[in-house]
Amino acid sequence: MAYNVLIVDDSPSIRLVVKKVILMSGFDVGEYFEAANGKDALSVLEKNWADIILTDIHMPVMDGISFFKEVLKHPIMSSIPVIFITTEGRDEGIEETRKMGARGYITKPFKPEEIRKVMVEILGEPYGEGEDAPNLEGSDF
Amino acid sequence: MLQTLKEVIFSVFETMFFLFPEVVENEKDLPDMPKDYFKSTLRLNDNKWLLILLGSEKLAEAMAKNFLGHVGPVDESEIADVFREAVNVIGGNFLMKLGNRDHVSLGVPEVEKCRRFPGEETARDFCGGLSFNVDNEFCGVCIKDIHG
Repeated sequence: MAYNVLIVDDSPSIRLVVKKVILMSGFDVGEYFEAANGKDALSVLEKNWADIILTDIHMPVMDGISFFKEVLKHPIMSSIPVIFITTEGRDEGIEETRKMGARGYITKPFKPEEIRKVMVEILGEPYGEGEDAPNLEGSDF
Repeated sequence: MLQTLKEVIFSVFETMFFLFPEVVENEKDLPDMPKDYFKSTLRLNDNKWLLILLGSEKLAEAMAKNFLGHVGPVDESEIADVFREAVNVIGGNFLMKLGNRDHVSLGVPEVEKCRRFPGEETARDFCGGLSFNVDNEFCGVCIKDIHG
């Protein structure tokens, strides 16, 4: 099954690196969507379906928390799993997003394996039995 | 506080950019002051502090190449974006390491490419904070108390 992925970050470099990590992880990706802030991400979701969202928190125009709150209000979008990838690594911040319903929380700088691990928890293993999963350990971003 | 900042710089540069900064205590041991350099800034803790990251153009380019995994050239917008993200990650990790249990307020980072003015000959002239040698390129980091 191919998954549509939405990456929300005001840094094009972070979006590119997250996309590379997902490709390296072996997930079957249908379409990649990108947005530079929560407002643009909502516009993307109005026209397209995403199976998973990876979003930053600190962004101009609309931050990741406000974006997530808007997603949760929507009857259909609210079912999309959301992973936060952010510089804010306080336990309180992580707990706050978990209480809101976030499915994962990754702090920058991250290791590719961390993204893969959280995505596997949500979407399942991208490789079938007998196939070798890529070894992402030892690489950082 | 500077010790914490130093540890964060080591960790972020190693993890994100595969680079290993060395602290330079004596100005005479610093790499040549760059003519062109990148400067990124981030307001921290409800605008109380301003975190400033400076790096020579060559260093910023190396950071971008390593982070993006590019073998070929990187364009200036990519270099600027990666340098902007660097101060963002440094700021977030710095506050986390300080153990700030209150509201952690990170601003939106900014970046600009600068040219050294006459008279800015030393690291102290640049920012007055920590100075690093990263593969023979200059890097400076400091925190300014905006209200102080």
